[in-house]
Amino acid sequence: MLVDINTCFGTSPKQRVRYAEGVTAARMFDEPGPVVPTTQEVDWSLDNLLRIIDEQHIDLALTYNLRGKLYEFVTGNHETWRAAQTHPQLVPIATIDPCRHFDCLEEVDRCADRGFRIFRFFPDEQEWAIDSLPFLHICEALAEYGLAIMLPAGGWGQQSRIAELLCPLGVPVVAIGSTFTVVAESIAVAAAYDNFFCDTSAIHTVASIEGFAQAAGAHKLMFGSNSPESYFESAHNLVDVAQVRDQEKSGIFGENALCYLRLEGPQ
Amino acid sequence: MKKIDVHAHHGVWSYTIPVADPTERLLRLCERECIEYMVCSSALALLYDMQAGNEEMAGAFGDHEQLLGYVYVNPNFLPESVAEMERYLALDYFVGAKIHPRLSGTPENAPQMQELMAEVAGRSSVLLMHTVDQNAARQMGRYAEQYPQLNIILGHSAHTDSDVAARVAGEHPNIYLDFCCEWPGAGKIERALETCGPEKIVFGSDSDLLEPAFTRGMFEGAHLTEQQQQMIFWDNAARLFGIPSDKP
Repeated sequence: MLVDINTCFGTSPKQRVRYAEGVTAARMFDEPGPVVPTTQEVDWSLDNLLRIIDEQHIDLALTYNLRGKLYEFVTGNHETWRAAQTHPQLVPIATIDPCRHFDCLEEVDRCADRGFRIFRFFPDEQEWAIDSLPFLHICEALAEYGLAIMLPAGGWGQQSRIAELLCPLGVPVVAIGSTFTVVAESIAVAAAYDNFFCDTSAIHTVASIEGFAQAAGAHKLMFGSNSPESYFESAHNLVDVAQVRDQEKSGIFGENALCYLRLEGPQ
Repeated sequence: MKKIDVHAHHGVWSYTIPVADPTERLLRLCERECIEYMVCSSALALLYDMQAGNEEMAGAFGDHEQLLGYVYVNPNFLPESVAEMERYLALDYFVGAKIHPRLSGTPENAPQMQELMAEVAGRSSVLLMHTVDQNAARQMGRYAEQYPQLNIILGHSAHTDSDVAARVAGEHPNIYLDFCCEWPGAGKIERALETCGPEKIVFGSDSDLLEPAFTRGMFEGAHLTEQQQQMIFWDNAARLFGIPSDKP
C-alpha cells in the first residue's frame, strides 16, 4: 500500500517554485545588468501526475490543484473533484483562500457535502496569517464536519502556533514540508498533540524519521513526495531506508493516512 | 553501484542528527549506500574554528581509507588559510579545498575571495565551492577561466538556478556539478545532462546534513543509463581525485 499525501496538478504562470524565493534571498551579490529570474520547468499537468502515480505504483495520491491555490478556489475545487471522479487513484483535497471573504464558509459546506475529507491551505503564497480570524472561522467550520486540515510547516515556531490554534478543534492537522531545520519542532508538537501529524516530503534525513518515530510515534508520519515538483524517489528512499519496524514503515507509507484522515482504501 | 561521494561533512550540526561519533556515522552511511570514498569537510571548521576543525577531521580520518578530506579555507583568514593548505594538502588523504561563501560571510566576487582563489589554485587541483545561485555559478565560471588547472565542483549546483550552473559547466572544462540539495526538483538532472553531459556531473550527498539516499533518489528519478551512472557515481570523481578507475 502506497499513499502519497502531497501532490498537486495544474499550471503555474511564474514557472517559479517556492524554493526559488529562498535561493534569491540567499544571494550574496547581484551582477550588473537586468535581473535574470530563477525559473524551473516543472510539468504540473494532470497527465504527468497520473504518469508518476502509475510508474511509482501509488495506490492513492491526495491532490489539490494549482487553480485553487493561485486563482480561484471554487472552480479549483470543482476541477480537483472532477479529476478524482475520473481517476479513482486521486483523493481530492480542497482549498480556500481566506482573503476572499465571500463564499469561504459556503465553500466549506459545498465541499463537505460533495465528500471532500481534507482541506489544504497556503498562507505563504496567498499572504495571510495563520492566526487571523477569517482563517480560524474557516477551520471552525471544517471542524463541524470533522474535516482534516493541511498547512505548511513553515519556519521555526509556526508548527507550535498551528497546533495551539487548531488542535483543540479535534480534527487531524497535518504539517506539510517540515525540513531538517524545523523537524525538531515537528517532533515536539506531534508528541504533544494527539491530532498533529507531519508529511515526510522534506524531512531530508533518516535520523529525523527515526527520531520522530521514537519520540512522537511513527503513526504521526505520513508519506508525501511533493510530486510533480520533486523527484519522487528522493522522498521515497528516505522512508525506505529508515530503521523503523516494518509495521511502522507500512504505516508511514499509507496506513496512517488511511486511518487518521479517514480515507477509503484503493478501489 | 559503488560510489564516490564528493560532498560530505564531518562533525556536528545543530539539527536532528544523532549524538554519536561523527566518523562512525559517516562510515555507516558509506556501508549502506555503497560509498567507497567519501570526501568531507569539517563542520567545526565551517561553523566555528577553521584550524580546530581541519585538525579534528585530520585526526579522525587517518585510520579510515575511505574517508578523504577537503581542507577548509576562509577568505577572512588568508595567511592562516594558506598555512592550512600547506599543512593538510601534503597528506595523501586530503584531496582538495573547500570554501563556503555564506558561512564565511564573503561574496564569491569579493576581493578577499579573489585573493583566496589565487592561493587555492596554486596549491590544490580540486575546489568544492558551496554555490547557492546563478550569480555565484557565473562567478565560478570566471574563476575557472582564470585558473584552468583548478577543477571546481559547484556544490548544490546553484539550487533552483541549476540550469545556469549546467550552462557554466558546459562552457568550462574544469567546472563540475554536484546536485545535493534539500530541494530535489524533478527534471534538473535530465536538463543538466543535455546541457553539459554526464562527464561534468559528480555524486555528492551533503551527508550527514542530508541523507545520501535522498540525493540518490534524484539520480534514480533521472533514469540514468548504466554508462551515465558509471561516470557520475565513479569515473568523473575518480579522475578528479586520482582514485584508480578499476576500484569498482
